[in-house]
Amino acid sequence: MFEITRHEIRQKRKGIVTFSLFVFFFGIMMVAAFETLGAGLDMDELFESYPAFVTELFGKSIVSFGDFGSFITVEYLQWVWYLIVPAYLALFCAGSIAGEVERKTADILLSYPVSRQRVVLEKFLAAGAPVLLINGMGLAAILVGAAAVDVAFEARWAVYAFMQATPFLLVWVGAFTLLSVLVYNEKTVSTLSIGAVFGLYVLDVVSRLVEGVSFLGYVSPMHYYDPGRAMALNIVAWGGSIVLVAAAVALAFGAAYVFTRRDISG
Amino acid sequence: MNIIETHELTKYYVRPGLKKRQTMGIEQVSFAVRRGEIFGFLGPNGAGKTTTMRILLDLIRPTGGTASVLGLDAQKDTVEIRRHVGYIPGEILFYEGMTAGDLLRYYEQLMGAPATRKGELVSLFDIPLDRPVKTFSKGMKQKIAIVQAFMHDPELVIMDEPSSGLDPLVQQRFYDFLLRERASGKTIFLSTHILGEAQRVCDRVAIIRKGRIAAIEDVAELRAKSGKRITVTFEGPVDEADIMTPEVRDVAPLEDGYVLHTGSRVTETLRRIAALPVADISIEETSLEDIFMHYYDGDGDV
Repeated sequence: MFEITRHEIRQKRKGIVTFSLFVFFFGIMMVAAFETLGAGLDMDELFESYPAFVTELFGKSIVSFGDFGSFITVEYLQWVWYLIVPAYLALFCAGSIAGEVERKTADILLSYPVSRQRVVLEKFLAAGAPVLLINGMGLAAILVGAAAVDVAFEARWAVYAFMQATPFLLVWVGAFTLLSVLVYNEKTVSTLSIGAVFGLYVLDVVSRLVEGVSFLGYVSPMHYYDPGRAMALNIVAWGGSIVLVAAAVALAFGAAYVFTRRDISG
Repeated sequence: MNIIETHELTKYYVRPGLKKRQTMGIEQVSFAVRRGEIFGFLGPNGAGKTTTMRILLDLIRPTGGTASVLGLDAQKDTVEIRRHVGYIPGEILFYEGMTAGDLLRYYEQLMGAPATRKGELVSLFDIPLDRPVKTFSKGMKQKIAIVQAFMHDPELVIMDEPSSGLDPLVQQRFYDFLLRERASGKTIFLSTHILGEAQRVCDRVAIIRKGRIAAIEDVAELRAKSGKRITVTFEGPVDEADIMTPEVRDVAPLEDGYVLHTGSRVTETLRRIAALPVADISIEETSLEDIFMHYYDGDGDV
């Protein structure tokens, strides 16, 4: 078991490590920015002078910019985890099935005694490696950074925020995997996937800003994950995470089902 | 028990687009491959050879008909079937970044059983294990595909145009290898568009054309149907009776000569022709097209 997962991770290990390091150093940079900016500038005043939609765009649950948890949420988690990491995962997952079928490596792979379900589920699991490593690197950046600049911040809030980030990212992996079995074209899949990330992000923002369309937000994974709740407001609620886990599992099995019913044709 | 059995296997491909046009892959293909034989699928490109083989491995699903491999249902029991079957696809593509050794190790892990013949085959086909796949020629990739298909010593090997890309010397070694494998009891199902290849290694062949099986024959019968094609032109008018010998099966007039189809022996015919005022002569092996034209309902349009 897990040969396909291991193979997939091995094939993509360089990319996984490079991107995780980028995430780590970016986090360290943001902590350093808090040290220099947050203390000097009165960010709160600046922030409040913007119209409501700008503040909605940048922060859901924040206290003030002088607060380390709020600052990191706005400047790091809320856009790197909302947009950049899902976009990276879109590229990671697009090739998983579509790429193998398109490049015809799937022909020999599927001549071995592995079921189509197993291929899809193992590929899904393989994306767990970058998800865990990226979250670990983000957490490390915040904790190492906070210790270095000596701010008062309880580590457990960051731990909660990243624990909740895991199902959030896995939902994306599930969605991208489903796209990857629906369309056997790696480029199309990655374009659609990245489009979906930005589209659903905007949908989440719009659903909070425009009256009467709040129901639209339920479609967006961003609706179920708000790093600021733990990081800034110090509230821990798992309801959203439960929805995300259920959705991720449903998407992964949905992708497996679709793949078993399709012809392999490049 | 037959190793492969299909009954009226049919596959239409649905073309993407608004109209959902269907194009024919194969239609009512029925044949059986017996244990221990080398069975050839002989036909031109696009005849449906690949389609049939991909259905047997459940890479694609038939529109109608049934197929069984090793007595198991080709769709329902595909994972179990693939434990005992090796496969060489028509287009061979590997994970480019891996070395040949890592690649074979990966396939060994996927099989979940040790590849007992790996070492033997790697040395037989001279595979450089430590070189990355992307540096390999088409022929070398073909050889790796052969190794992966046979290394678990499967009961049956399905091969889609296995000799394409191999240089003549390796091709020869490969044919000898196939005959040895058959001698040790392995069943082989291969496709080819080359008549000579089918005659060289197969025991029986199914001739497939435009998605349908035109005939299933022993290679001996096929050999009897094949022979030489002599195209000869003369400097003056020559009567057909002057070139006819018992060796000639069929003759067609040209403006200034004839096209003769003969058996494999041509001694007497050549002797006759030599006595006439020959302008030009060429002698070729009978082609697959000729056989279609003369023996099956075909019009030679392949």
